[in-house]
Parts: sequence; C-alpha cells; structure tokens
Amino acid sequence: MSAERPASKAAPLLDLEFDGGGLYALRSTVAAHALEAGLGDGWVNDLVGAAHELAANAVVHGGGRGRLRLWKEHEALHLQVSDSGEGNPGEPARWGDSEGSGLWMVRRMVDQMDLRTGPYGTIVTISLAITDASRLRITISEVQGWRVLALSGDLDLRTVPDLTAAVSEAAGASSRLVLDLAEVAFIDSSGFAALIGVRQTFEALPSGALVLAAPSERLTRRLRTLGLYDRFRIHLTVAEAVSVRLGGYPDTGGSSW
Amino acid sequence: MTGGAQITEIGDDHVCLTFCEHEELLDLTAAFVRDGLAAGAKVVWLSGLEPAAALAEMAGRGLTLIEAAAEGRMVVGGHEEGLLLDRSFDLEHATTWLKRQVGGINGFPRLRIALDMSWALRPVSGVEQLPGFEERVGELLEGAPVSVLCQYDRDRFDPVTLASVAASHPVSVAAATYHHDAVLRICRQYAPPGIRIAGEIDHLAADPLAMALQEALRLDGDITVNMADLHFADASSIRMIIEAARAHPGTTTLRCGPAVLPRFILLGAFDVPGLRLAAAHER
Repeated sequence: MSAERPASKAAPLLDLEFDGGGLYALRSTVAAHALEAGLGDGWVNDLVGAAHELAANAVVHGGGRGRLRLWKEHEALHLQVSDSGEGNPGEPARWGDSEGSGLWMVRRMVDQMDLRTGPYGTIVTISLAITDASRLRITISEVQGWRVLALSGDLDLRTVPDLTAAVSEAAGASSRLVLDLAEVAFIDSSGFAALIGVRQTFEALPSGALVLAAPSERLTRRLRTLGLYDRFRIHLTVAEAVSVRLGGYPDTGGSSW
Repeated sequence: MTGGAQITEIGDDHVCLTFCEHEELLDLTAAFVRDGLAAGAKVVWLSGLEPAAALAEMAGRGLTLIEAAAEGRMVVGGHEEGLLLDRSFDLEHATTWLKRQVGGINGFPRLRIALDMSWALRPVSGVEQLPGFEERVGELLEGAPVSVLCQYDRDRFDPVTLASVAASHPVSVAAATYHHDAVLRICRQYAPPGIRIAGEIDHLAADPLAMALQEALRLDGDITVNMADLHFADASSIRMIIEAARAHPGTTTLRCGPAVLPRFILLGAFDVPGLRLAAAHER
C-alpha cells in the first residue's frame, strides 16, 4: 500500500498538489467544484473547512506538501488528502486528534471520515452526501398550548433564514415550541448553530421551552458527535413532547448557555 | 503617507484620514464623534449617507446621538449641505461654509468636523479646486479650537490626488493595522473597541492575529472582535480567538457572519464565560 493508492474508479473532479504557499487557492477551488457538483452552500462551507484542516495538517506535519482529490460517487462527494509522510516518518500520532484540533473539527463537519496512517504517509478520506436542493418546508400547528413547527427537507445555510423567520413568529405567539424533525434529512453546521440560537430565544422567554421531536437515527448520531444531544430536550414523538410536564432544561454542567 | 497618529489621539488640527473599507471609515468616524462629544465639543459630520442611515450606523457602534442632535451639539448632513453647490465644487462656497461653522462655535469649547470626501470620486465639476480648499482649511484653523477630519478612501483615490491633498494636512490618521494583503485584513476597531478581521484567516496569520488579540486584551472593559466580513476561519484561528476571550476579564463579543458562526459553536464558544456570540446582519 502506498500513498499513491488510487482514490476511486470514478473520474476525479479535482486532483491537485499543494504546499505551504497558502491554501487560499485550494479552498476556492474546492468550493467551486463542490458547488458545481451540486453540494448545497452550507455543505460547501463544511467541506471547504474540512479540506483546509486536512491540507494544513499535511503541510505542517506531513512533509510540507500533499495531494488533494475530489470525486463524486454514490450520491456523495468524497475528498481525499494524502501526504508522503516525509515530515515525521513512522509516527502515526502526529496528526493530533485532541479536542479542538483541526482533525477533531473535521470529524464533526462531515458524514464519514477514514484515516489511514503509516510509514508511507497519511491518507484521509471524507464524504458528504449530496441531497436534493429542496427548500425547507415548515408546517405550523398548535398542540395543547405548544406551537409545533414540522420541518421537512434540509436545514442548512440556505434554509436557516426560513427557520429563523418561522421561529421569531412562533416566539411572538407562544413561549413553548416543538421542532418536529421527523422529516429532516440533513443538518449542516449552520443548521446546528441555528438550533442553538432557537434554544437561546426560547430560554429567554418567561416559562419558555424548546423541545426537539423525532430526530432520525442519523441526526441523533450527529447531535451526539457534536456534544449537543444532552443539551436539548429531545423526545421520540411530538405527542410525547407536548405531554411532558415542564421542568428545568437538562443539566448542562453549569455552562453559561 | 503612513498611519501616524491614532484616531483617539488627535487634537485641534487639520487631519487626513485614510481608510480601506466603508466599515472601517464608519468605525473611525464613530470614535472621532464619540471622543468629541465626550469632550463637550460640537460635532459636524458631512457623510456620504442619508442622515438617518448615518445615525443608525453610529447607533450600531454604541453611539446614541438623538439627544445630541436635538440639542444641536451633533449635526449630520450630506455633501450638498456644505461642500457642494448644485452638484459642483466651488472653492469660495466651501470656504464660506467652513468659516460659518468655525464662527458658529459660540457656547461650545471646541468644534470637530468630519468631512467624507467620496464626492470627489464622482464626476463633479470643480474637483480640481480640492487641493486649494485643503490648503485654505489649514489657514482657517490657525489657532482655533477646531479639528477637521478629511476622509479619503486609500484604494479609490488615485495616488497623485492623495499625495497632493495629504501635503496640506499636518497630521495623518489610519486604523492601526496588524496585517493587510489581498486575502486578509486585521486592524484595530475603535468603536466599539476591539479588533476587526476581514477576508479569510488561517494559521499563516497566527502571528499578526496573536498580536492584535494581545493589544485588544490590554483595553479596559468589554471588547469586540468584529468578523462580520470574515468568510473563512480555520480551527487554529478560532481556538486562538476563543482563548483570548477566555483570558479577557470583561465581556468579549464575537460578531460573526454566517460562514464562521457555526465553527465557533462547534469549537465550544458557548461554554466560555464572558464570551458573547452575536450574529452579524447581512448587508
């Protein structure tokens, strides 16, 4: 096995070599190709962020340069960054994965990450699913004094403004909100940021409450990876969400938000 | 012509302010207005904006000017009200206007005048008299408790014009800049105090970012890191900014656009005491 292992049978959308001379060009090239391949704006942001961290790792720890490949396969975009390992041969721990590191952040921004390292160098492959660029549909209802917003579609950079508008309208009508996530396929990092914003809005209201209902298994996994799962009140169904008695929010370990 | 003085240090003088971006101009103007009113001065500002929009921009930078405007201590107007006559520049008209301002100082210990010069970038007849006007300003101010801040866009004015007008100003002012290239600009922000980062930032700018944050931490009270025009930030830069906020005894407001806000959340900004995340409104 070598660092020159072919990325995939699919023809690459992008195959370029980079060095430490500035990763600005690499970022804008990845962004342009990802947009062209049909990835939504918010996801492009995440992919570019991940590509940058991987390339910076190759530059800083992997011998000063590396190679980046991008290809589309099975309705997903795959991006691979490899280095020759000349920088620090035989030390697999050099791509640090401590909390807050670049690699740690990459794990939290993409659907899948595969890291192989050895004397031949390091190869990291990440994947992001390409979803239909459908808009977010929001259906509003009232259930037992709760305002329920049923979301359908993707919650990402493009659709966050729709959610924000519906939420500020809801906050004027009721202090208790359920976000029904059953029909939400994907949430990117702007979407998760928006959910935290919604929680803050409702927390600031007198006797305000926010409940997330019916997240898919995949969303639940993402919420856990992001460390957000314990910070929201989450129920399996809307009926369950509106029937619980209100208490405090889950203990956030004394954190300020 | 380089930086020279800081906007917060200028006295009664004829000052040439150069700037790179509109946001920076408004920030420096806000500091000039704020410090003038705090010292009891009357402040006159001829801006390139509608007066209501100009006041709103100042409000966004923590300056409530309604009361001062009602009392006549703060006057906000457009170019047409002072420098221009029927959309053309007339040396005599502009000089008369300035004399009237200096003469109308009664009751105020000092006067501060901010003049946005962007009108001279438009096809305005008489613009060739501008250097002559700048020379006269110096003569008019001789010994008067008045400061005049002439504001020039460093990128849009041609170097010849800039050099000829700069010569008439004994003092020049610009934002303290830690880094400036085609991709990234890091500079001091004066109102509200802190720093401003615009463009794209990564580990290559670690040194200027560290220096900017260190200087911001030396400021008393609350600080702002304005990232409204920042479109990319890598993990190392975000960590550095979060750590600076953690170290600052006052509140640190991180003003973020939609591209970088999620990164700060991902890297735990919500858990830092004294750190406030604010979404920058799209313009």
